[in-house]
Order: sequence, then structure tokens, then C-alpha cells
Amino acid sequence: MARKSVLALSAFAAALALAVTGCSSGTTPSAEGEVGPNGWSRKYAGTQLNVIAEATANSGILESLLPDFEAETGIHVSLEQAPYDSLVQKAVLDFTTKKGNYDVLSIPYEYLGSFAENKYIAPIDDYLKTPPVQLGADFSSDDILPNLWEPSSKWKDNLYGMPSNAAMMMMMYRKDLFENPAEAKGFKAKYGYDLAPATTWDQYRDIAEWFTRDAGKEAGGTALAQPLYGVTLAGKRHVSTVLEWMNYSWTFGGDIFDSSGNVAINSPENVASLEYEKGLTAYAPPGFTSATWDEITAQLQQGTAAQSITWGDTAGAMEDTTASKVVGKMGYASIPVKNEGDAPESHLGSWTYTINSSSKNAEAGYEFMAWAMSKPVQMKLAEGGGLPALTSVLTDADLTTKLPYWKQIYTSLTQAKSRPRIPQWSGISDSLALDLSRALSGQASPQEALDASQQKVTELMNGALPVTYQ
Amino acid sequence: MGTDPRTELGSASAALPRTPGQATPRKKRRDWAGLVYQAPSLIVLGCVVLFPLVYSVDLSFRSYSLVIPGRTGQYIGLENYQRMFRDADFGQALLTTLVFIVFAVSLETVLGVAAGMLLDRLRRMKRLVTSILLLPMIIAPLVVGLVFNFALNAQFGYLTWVLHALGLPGGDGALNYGPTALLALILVDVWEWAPFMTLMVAAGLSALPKEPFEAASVDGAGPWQTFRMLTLPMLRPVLAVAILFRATEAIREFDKVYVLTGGGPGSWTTVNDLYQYRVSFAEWDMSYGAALGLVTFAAVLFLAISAFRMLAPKEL
Amino acid sequence: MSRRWKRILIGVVATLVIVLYISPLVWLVLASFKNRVDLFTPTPTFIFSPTLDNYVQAFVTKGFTRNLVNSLIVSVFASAIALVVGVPSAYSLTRRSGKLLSAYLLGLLAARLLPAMVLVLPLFILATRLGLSGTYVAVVAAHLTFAIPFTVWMMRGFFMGVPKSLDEAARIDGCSEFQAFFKVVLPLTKNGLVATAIFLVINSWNEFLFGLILTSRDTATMPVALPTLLTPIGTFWGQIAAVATVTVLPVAVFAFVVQKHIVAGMTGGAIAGE
Repeated sequence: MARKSVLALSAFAAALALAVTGCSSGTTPSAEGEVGPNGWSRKYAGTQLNVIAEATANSGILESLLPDFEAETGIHVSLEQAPYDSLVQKAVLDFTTKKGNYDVLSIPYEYLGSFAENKYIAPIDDYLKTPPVQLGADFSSDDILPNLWEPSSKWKDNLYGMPSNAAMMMMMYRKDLFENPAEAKGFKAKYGYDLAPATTWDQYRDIAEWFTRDAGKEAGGTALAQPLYGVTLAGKRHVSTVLEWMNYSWTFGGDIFDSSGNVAINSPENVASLEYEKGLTAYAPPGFTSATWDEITAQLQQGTAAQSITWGDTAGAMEDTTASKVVGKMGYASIPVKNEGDAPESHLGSWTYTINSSSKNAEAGYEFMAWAMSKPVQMKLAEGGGLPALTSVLTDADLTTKLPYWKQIYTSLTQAKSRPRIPQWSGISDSLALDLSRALSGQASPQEALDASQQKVTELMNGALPVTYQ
Repeated sequence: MGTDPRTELGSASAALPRTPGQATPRKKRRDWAGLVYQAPSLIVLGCVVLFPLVYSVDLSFRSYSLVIPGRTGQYIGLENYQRMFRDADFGQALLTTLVFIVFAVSLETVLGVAAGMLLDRLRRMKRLVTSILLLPMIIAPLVVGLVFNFALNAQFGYLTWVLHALGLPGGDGALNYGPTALLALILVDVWEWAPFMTLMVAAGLSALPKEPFEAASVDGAGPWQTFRMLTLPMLRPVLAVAILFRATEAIREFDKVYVLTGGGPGSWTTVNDLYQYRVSFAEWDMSYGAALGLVTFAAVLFLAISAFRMLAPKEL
Repeated sequence: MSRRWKRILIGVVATLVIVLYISPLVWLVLASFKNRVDLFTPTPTFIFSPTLDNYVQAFVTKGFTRNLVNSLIVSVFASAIALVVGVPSAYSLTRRSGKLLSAYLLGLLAARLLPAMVLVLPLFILATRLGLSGTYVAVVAAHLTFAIPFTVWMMRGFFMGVPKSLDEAARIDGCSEFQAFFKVVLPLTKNGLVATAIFLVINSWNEFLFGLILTSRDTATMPVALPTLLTPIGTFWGQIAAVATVTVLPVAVFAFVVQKHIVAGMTGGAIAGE
């Protein structure tokens, strides 16, 4: 709060200084060729731009940098932050009014197909080739990680935006507990192999069982004030549950669609993966039936669980000294695989800045997007605990040494696999969210749950099978 | 209330001196006035209720979605309705709603009668107590759901702490388990609406004549007897209206559930309105949502009319 | 035990029960003044250092004052229109009879039974087609779907309590029907009018679903804006409590001041309808 007012004050002072020194910055109407001090066009000075994005670390940091953008370009940005469900709903509701209430929307990439096909969002290929306004030298589209950019923004033949919030899933674990000699000794005695970050699911389960203890018992040499759990996972009727499960599904050899493009939700591999996940719930905090990625983050921060499959963009929260009790104690590694030797994969969860086709400020919106992708901004994102999308920042030597999770983030991003981005995704996600949560909460068996989703999704995809492009 | 105003006024006007040729125009003028009184409400309601309702009916025979491609509003006949029969989630939602209504309204009635009788006896504190009792039902249902979501939070909810201290179920987060979540929803509804029943019963009691009770006490009737044979039957009309009101409102329950559990865990607390909301505004399958809504409306209408006829035949 | 002691005991027990009953609301108000650390302790605390930070954050920084204003606008307009349209209608219904009018009355009852879900969908689609989505018009119109039937049913009960002989007396004195209505009958139902108006405002103020779907960022009412704070868990509970308190407080104060009218309205409408 104080930080923001200081920033605002300094931005105001900067603007004042600029005005005093004679650079025309907002007092005179902007001309076509006018540029800010860092090379960004001031053509749209005075415009109000409405942006909506998910409430994450990235958005928080970006919000604090908005005064800089305004000082540079004269564009006033109003950034609204919302949780996943609410954001998608607001986006769709806004698209249908065709009024362009939101100019730039950071959408979850799985909705790309749907929004592109319905022509709610506009392709940016032309803007990329020839920028509509002058962009600062700090922006270079080549620097955007291709492995991230394509799945998050390319649909069929067009590009629809730039990655706003790179995220992928990884395994986080309590490094300090793993490194504790007493724990290592006890574990080896019980299970017959060394205690180390899990590389296979069997190990993950054993470790989970090992570390699930009541309050009062010891862990890592100290007595526990609250119970410790081997894992924490998402089980709420929410997209987080679907996305987490897909990791288990993929490593077990399953997927939503099989190689011929038919619905394969109740394949034996998928059922096995769900049975496995259900088994893990015995070692999870009881609140898992209402847990989403947010609850998992909070629990890990409180030191409630020893392992979790969760989102890399919450790594910053683990190292946040104001909120986390496990600063410096967390380890970051790739998601385990089913059989020793399989190549690890990571679930990609990227968000994309897109331009509303009904927006009246498309060009200003593109300028904002590019600015958000520029090196200085992306560096600030990284330093503030968020996640950048630029290769140079992700491989930056300084950051790699400073941030314990930095190396894993880049590794995971290169292993990233994306979920289906087809237009019917929302229905698939909803169906799976319901059935997965029912299976995990014990209302239905994994086979029953996946059968139910299989039936619903097949009906939903009526006429669109087999899927040839995802 | 049974005499026709027209006949009354007619007889009055018959006594007035009549100018030739004015008999019929005067009657017409009255009808015009009636129309003028009704017209605004008819027009407005026609626009905001009737027209959307008809539109909804039409939509239910089509396939329309704002997000799923290929659903541009083409006619598909009865497909949506046929789908309802295969829809296990819909059946579950109906069952959950039924359980919710039956338990919540019964509890509210029982508590309401008991508390109403107590309230009726109060003298000095009556005004204060009434004001306080109004609070649960007068604040936004959304806030009610929020307050209890907060209070039952597994980590820092004070009710969780109380439950935990007393060793009752729900001590580690009532909203995390299906059955306790549903129970919590029912109890929250009771918390919100038992005051309504209480006030209705108290008002009903205060309107009852004193003589039968005096006579009963003279005859030596005990309190339970008086209650069963005198109070309860005389309260029947008031209770009927109140129960009917609550039941029809409970069917439309949305705000509380939305914010208390969101329908979970799993689908344990997904009541009908919430289910339809998800279909229309989360899955964006709007034409199916329209069909669901209409079927629900028809069912509610049928139940309400039947109940009305049974409990309060005088109205119809 | 002597009678007096018995009375006192009952009084004490009753007070305790009532305080416990209202405790969730008390807790909410207290929470709105707590800072983050005090909020998340696993054991509840009554003693803490109060802070206005939540209110400042919510209303100034995050702009919830805008939502407050929106709530006011929507409630006032919806209630005003409902009264202007519904009161004459209710009056006329009690002074006339006929098959059509009975049908209309039943239609109004049916309208009260309509799940909001049935209406919100076509209203949304229609509003979008007309370009009205997200405007005050859309949500006020939606509110009228329950406000007008409510007004008619409530006021009907009160008008039925005014004997028709008064109308006739006025007519004989030379008043037109409208004058009889406006100058003689209406003033006698003042209590009913006040009660109805209060309920209308409260219903619109508390309404959530129509607002959720039909308003946009700029026109969102308080209940609609409230869940936007339900995001990263833990961070904004204090602010949620602050906004919730402001959503609840006017209604609570209102209720306290005019509770006589509210009770009369609630019960009078039902009992007079017998």
C-alpha cells in the first residue's frame, strides 16, 4: 500500500519533471509521431484501456508498474483482477454484448479455440508484422519462449496474443525434511531405498505415507504443532482438480482424446490414474474436497504438506518472507513418472493477452501487450516472484542463482504439454470437474466417474469427432 | 369482500338524477378507468415476464450456445427435453433440492412455532427481540452464505473452533465433507428463516381470540392439550401460508449455496437453481438451460397450486 | 423457585440464546476491523487492535463505493417504478372483480413462483440483442419481475382492509374514482405503502443473480461485486467482511428503525388475505 503511493508519487514527479523540461507529455494533444522517453508511442495518450487478468502474482506486479506505462505512453490502464471462473464468465458476457467493455483480456489458453472460432478475439498477425504504433526497443517478439507462445496463442493459422502468465505444473516438496538425516534413516529402514525427491509415482506415494503424521509427533527433528500431511491436492469441483488430474492421466498413458481423436476419458489408463490419485487422498489434508490451487498454495506456505503437484507460478509465494513459513525450505522438481525412465512432462497452464474484437482501442491494447512483454517489465515480474515469458529472462544467470526455483521453471516449461484448446473445452472441463471431484470425495468410484464424463463429453462433441486439431 | 362493487355503485347511481343517454357511457367509463389502472403493470410485466417466458419456451426447442460452436439457434425439437431424462446430474440436483426443502422447512416450522409461542409471551423485550430476529432474513442471502462460509472455514472459522472444542462433527471443516456440507446448508437456511416463521406465528397468535383459551383453562385442559387441540388448528391457516411461502422460496435457493459451497463438495449441495446456473452460464449450454428452467417452473407451479388447494382452500 | 427469579432466569437464557443466534453477524462486523494476522489465528480472538484498513482498501482503493452507488440507483429506481405501476393495479383489483382479473391475480402468483433462472437467461439474451446488457435499464427491468408482483400482492392485502363504503362516500361527494383512490383510500394505507416500499428496496438491494448476469463492471451492485474478493484465499477476507458489513448495515439499521412496519407488512399481507 505504501509502496503504491510512493510509486504513484514518483510517477507524478516524473511527469511533472518531463513537463517542466519542455518534453510535451500530456499537456499538448499527442501527435502521430510522438514518442515517450523509452521509445513507446504516445499516439494514444489520454486513452482509457480496460484490462482484465487472473489474480496472480504477475498481475499484482504488473499493476504496480502501470504508472510507468502511463508516464511513458499517456495511456491510462485499469487492470481488473478476477479468479478463473469469474474471469471466463465476465469475458464471455462481455464478448456477447459486443461493446468492448474490456479491451485486453488475459484468457486461459484452453479457451483460445472457442473464442477464436466465435470471433470474440482478434488475430494479431498483422500487428506483429507491422506494428501499428512505435514500440520501444525493449520489446522483441523473438525473445518470447516459442514453446510457450505457440500453444498459448496460436489457433489454426493465426496468432491471437502474447503469453501473460506463464505457468506450468511441477512437484514441490519440503527439501528440509528430505535432507534431514533422521528422516532419511527412518525412511530407508522402512522402504528399503534412499529418501530423495520422488521420480516415480510409487516413490511419491511411499513418501506421502511416510510423512503423514499427527500433531505431537516429530518431523525433521521438531515436534509438530499441527498434523503434517504427505501431500496436498486439489479435489474441489473446479478446474484445478481437472488440471492436476491430467498430470496423473498423461503419465499413466492416458489423455482426454486418444491418438485417433476419439473421446477416451474412461480408458483403462485414465481409470488407473484416478485410482492412484484417490489413493493419495488418504495422505492429504481433509480439506482437499474444497481445495483449489489457492488452498494448496496456502497450505504449502504454512508447511502443512510435504509434497504437492502444483503450479510453478506459485513458487514465488513459497519464498515470500511476509506470508510463507517455508522460505528456503522448498525444493522444486519435475513431476514424477509412472515407470522409471519415462520422460517427465509438465502441464502447461498459460494465459494469453488477447484483444477484444469489439474493442475500440485495439492498437493501444496491442501497445500495452507489447510493453508487458518488454524486457524491463518481464525482469520485474521475475524479481517480484512472478513468471516471465521471455527466454532471456528465464535463462538469466543472476536469477538462476538468486531464485531456488528458477532452473526448474525453465526445465518444466521445456517439458510442457498443453491441454486441448478446442471450443468445446469448457464443457469438457465442467464435466470432468464434477466427476473427478465426485470420485475423489468418495461419491462415485473412479470407473463410474470417468464413465459419466465419457458419456457427457461424447454427447457434447457430437459432430466434432474425431478431433484433428487441438 | 364478496359483494360486487359494481352492483353497489350501480344502486347508488340509480338513485341519482339521470340524464337521458348517459346510462351506457357511464358504464363504459368505469371499464376504461379499470384498464388505465391495470395497463401500466400489464405492459411492464408483459415485457419483462411474459415475453422472456415465451422466448424461453422457444429457445428450449432450439440448440443455442454463446461459446460452443455450431449451436447457432437451429431447431432441434424435443431433444432438450429428452436429454433431461438421461441427465443423471439433473436428477441428483432435484433430489438434493427436495432433501433441502423438506428438512429446512420442517425444522423452520417446528422452531418457529416454539419460538413464536415464546415471543408472544414476552412483553418488555418484544420490540428488541423482534428487531433482532428480523436480521437474519432481511440481510442479503449472499451475505448469509458468506458469513457462514467464513465462520465454518476449516482454518480460522470460529464455528469450526466451537465444533472442534465440543467434539462435534465438522470440527475439521464442515464444508469439506459432503454430508456435513449439506447439513450446514440446511442449518444455515434454518438460521436465516426460522425468525420468519417465529414472527408469523407470533402475529398469528396475537390475532387469535382469547375466549376459547380461557374456556379451555376453565375446563382444566393442560398446556399440551391446549396446544394440540386449540392453538395448532387455529394457527393452521397462518402456518399454511408461511410454509407455502418458504417452500416456494427454498426451491429458488441460489445465492447462499453459490457462496457457501459453490455446489460442492462434488455435487453434494448442488440444488436445482445452481445446477441450471452452471448449465447456462458455466457450460454455456443455454438452450438446455432454458428447457430445465421451464420444467422446473411447471413442476413448482403444479406443486404450489395443489398445496394451496389443500392447505388454504378459501383463497381459490 | 419464586416467580420473579423464574422470570429473570428465562430472560437471561433468552438473551443468551439471542446473542448466540446473532453471533455470526457480530463476528462478521468484528472481522471487518481486524488485520490479517488477527483474522487467521486458529482460535478466535475478541481482543485485537482494530484497523480501518479493510474499509479503505475495499472502498477507496478498490472502488467499492461505486458499487454502493449502483446498488442505491438500482434499488431506488426499481422500487419507485414498481410502486407507481403496482399500487394502482392493486387498488383496482380490490375494487373490481371478474374472470380476467382473477386470472391476472393468479398470473402474478405464478410470476412469484418463477425461478429467477428461468427469466435471467432470456432477459440476458434479449438485453444483449437490444444492446442494453450491462446498463441500469437491464437490471432494473429484471428486478421489476419480482418487484411488481410483490407490490400488487402486498398492497392488495392492505387495500382490502379499507372498506369500499369509503370509496362510495367519496364518489357521492363528487370525487372521480382516481380522486377517491388518491385522496381517500391511499392515505389510509400509508403503513402498508411504507412497509411495501421498505421491502422493495431491501429486496433489490440484496438481489444477486440478476445483477450477476445483467450488470457489467461499471454497473455492478454490491452483492455482485462482493464475490470478486473471494480470490486468493486468505488475502482479502478482511475486505470481504468490510464490504459485507456495508451491504448489511443499512438494511439492519433500517430494519431496526421501522420494524413495526416490516412486521405489519409481513404478517398483515398474509393475515388480511384470509
